[in-house]
Amino acid sequence: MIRVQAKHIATPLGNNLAENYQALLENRTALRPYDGDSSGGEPYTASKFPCQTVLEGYTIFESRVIEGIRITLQDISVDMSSPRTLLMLSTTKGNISLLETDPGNESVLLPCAAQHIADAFGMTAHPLVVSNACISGVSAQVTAMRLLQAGLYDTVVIAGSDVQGRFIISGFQSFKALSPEPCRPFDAERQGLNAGEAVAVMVLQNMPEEEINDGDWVLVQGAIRNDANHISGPSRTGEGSWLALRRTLEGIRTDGIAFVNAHGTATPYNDEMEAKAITRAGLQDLPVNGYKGYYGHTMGAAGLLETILSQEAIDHGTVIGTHGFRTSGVSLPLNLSADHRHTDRQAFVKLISGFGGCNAAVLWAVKRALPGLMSDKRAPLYSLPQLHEAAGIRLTDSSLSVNGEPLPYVSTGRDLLVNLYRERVGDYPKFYKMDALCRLGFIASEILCQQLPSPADGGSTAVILFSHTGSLCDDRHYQETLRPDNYFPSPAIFVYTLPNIVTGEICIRNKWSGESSMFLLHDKDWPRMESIVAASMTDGEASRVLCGWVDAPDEDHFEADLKFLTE
Amino acid sequence: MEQLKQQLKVQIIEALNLEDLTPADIADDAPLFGEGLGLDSIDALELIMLMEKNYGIKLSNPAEGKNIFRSVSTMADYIDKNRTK
Repeated sequence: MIRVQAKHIATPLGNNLAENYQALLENRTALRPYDGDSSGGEPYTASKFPCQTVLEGYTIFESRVIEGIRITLQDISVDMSSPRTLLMLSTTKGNISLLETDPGNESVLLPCAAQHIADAFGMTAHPLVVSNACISGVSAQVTAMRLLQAGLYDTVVIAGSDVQGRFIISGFQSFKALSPEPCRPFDAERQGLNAGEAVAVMVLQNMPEEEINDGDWVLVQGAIRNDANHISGPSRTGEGSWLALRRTLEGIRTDGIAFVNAHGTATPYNDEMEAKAITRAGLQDLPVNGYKGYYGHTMGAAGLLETILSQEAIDHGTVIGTHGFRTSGVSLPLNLSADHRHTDRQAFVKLISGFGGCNAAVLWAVKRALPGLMSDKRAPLYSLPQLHEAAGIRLTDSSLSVNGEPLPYVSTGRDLLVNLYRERVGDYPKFYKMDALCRLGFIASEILCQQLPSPADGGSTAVILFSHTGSLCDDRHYQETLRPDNYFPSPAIFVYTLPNIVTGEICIRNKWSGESSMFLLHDKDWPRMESIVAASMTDGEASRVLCGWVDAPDEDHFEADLKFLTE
Repeated sequence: MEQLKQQLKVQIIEALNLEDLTPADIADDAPLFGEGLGLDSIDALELIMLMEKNYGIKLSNPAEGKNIFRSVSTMADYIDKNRTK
């Protein structure tokens, strides 16, 4: 059984969980107005840390995460140097401001930043970066649960954070997604989201049920699903979010659930989409709340921060009110309130969605509430399934082979991908809009799919990819659009600055609504990648997974090494 | 006006990475979204940026784009009336 051993949050509203919870009870918000970018950006509202303590030899981002982990570990005993203790870093853009201040610094790569943090604690296991856009904090919980259940680690330390600088702010402004005023989740007058900063840390471990205290928090179930609809717009029917909820609630009595803590970004489309997903899952009578009106959207920290706050609220018998909400502005009736309410129930659902069409849900419960929550007590699948390779492709800037056999190709580098598109695909002009990483993943997956005897169908296919440089090539392109003398942030480039968009492009093309995940690693380590993929198959829904390595440090240098694995 | 439309087609192809198209492939009155070129919501945001960058037109409410971006003709018309550079 997966339990929380320790947790910690720090935000502009408080340095620890108790201070933050008190601030919410008092209806305080961390959202403040800020001047626009000096190069020409509009003013905005955000929640940012007032002062920046930087540790010697580390960046602001790394310092915040290190400090967060240090405080979390104060009262518990964890062997951080054990190879069975894993650091999982949940972030969207990590040290991205280095692109401007110190472009040659390798710490802009998320696996490097994660390694610095792991080294600060003398950890020996290589860290894992979860880079699933805004759902990363919940993705990390689901992944940690599986890795622990599979026995691959004893302890997983999940740390989530993002620093809100001009890169992210300008990007969301170019998307017209930022509200100039404090955001109003689910409200009729909502205008968009606010960016926010936070650090959230959770230490999870797998323990025999009898050794877990009655009052401990346990992670019951969770799932990740793709909309297979659009890389930035959420599904109009709440498809992926509903599918993630449906899987998470399998065998669960929903009358034991206190509330659904929604993503509630306060963009018109997100909140409407969640209303549909919650209703389709039959949870419309439960209280629904959102915390973005207190903290804004804290990106890589959001899933963790909001999970930890929800646990604390239930420990105090409370459903936190939705700050900024007055009159419902979604098309279906939801049980929303700006006021704090009382609850006796001891379980909640955390729901979240992100760019790339990804969605995730987790169900948390206090251990003593479990018997009343489970309607059907099946033994969860703990052992890792044996996976078989159905087909494989390796495509680099100057080579192409399928199932080990070389295939003919013309030209090299960027032109190679364009030629392969024209020769072997040809009917998907969206290809031309993709960044280098997506073009690579898309072409490799297309050629691989052509090798399969039967097309893979919707729900039964998952996409789980790994990379080292992630979206760096596109990050650099986007940074170019922020030059002070030529400041025109491009939304079409910004959307690809999230490494998981390639998983979304593949899901959309093939209409696959199974899990989609992106992890960043130091090296193409197949045994490690396969163990993470095998652990994900314990989800039980996918019968095959498109998985492997995609890396494109620049437009002319790349490698894809993908496989279809089946049970 | 003809010149503006031609210029606009080149700029649209460049801004939206429509590499397989030439200006001659885009008819003045063909719908840009939906059936026509099959552009989507991100492309609409990119067109807003294109108007700001090249013609000094700021469109704060993306919903206004719906009518402006119906076709190259409607876009050229709007730019002609509102351009500041």
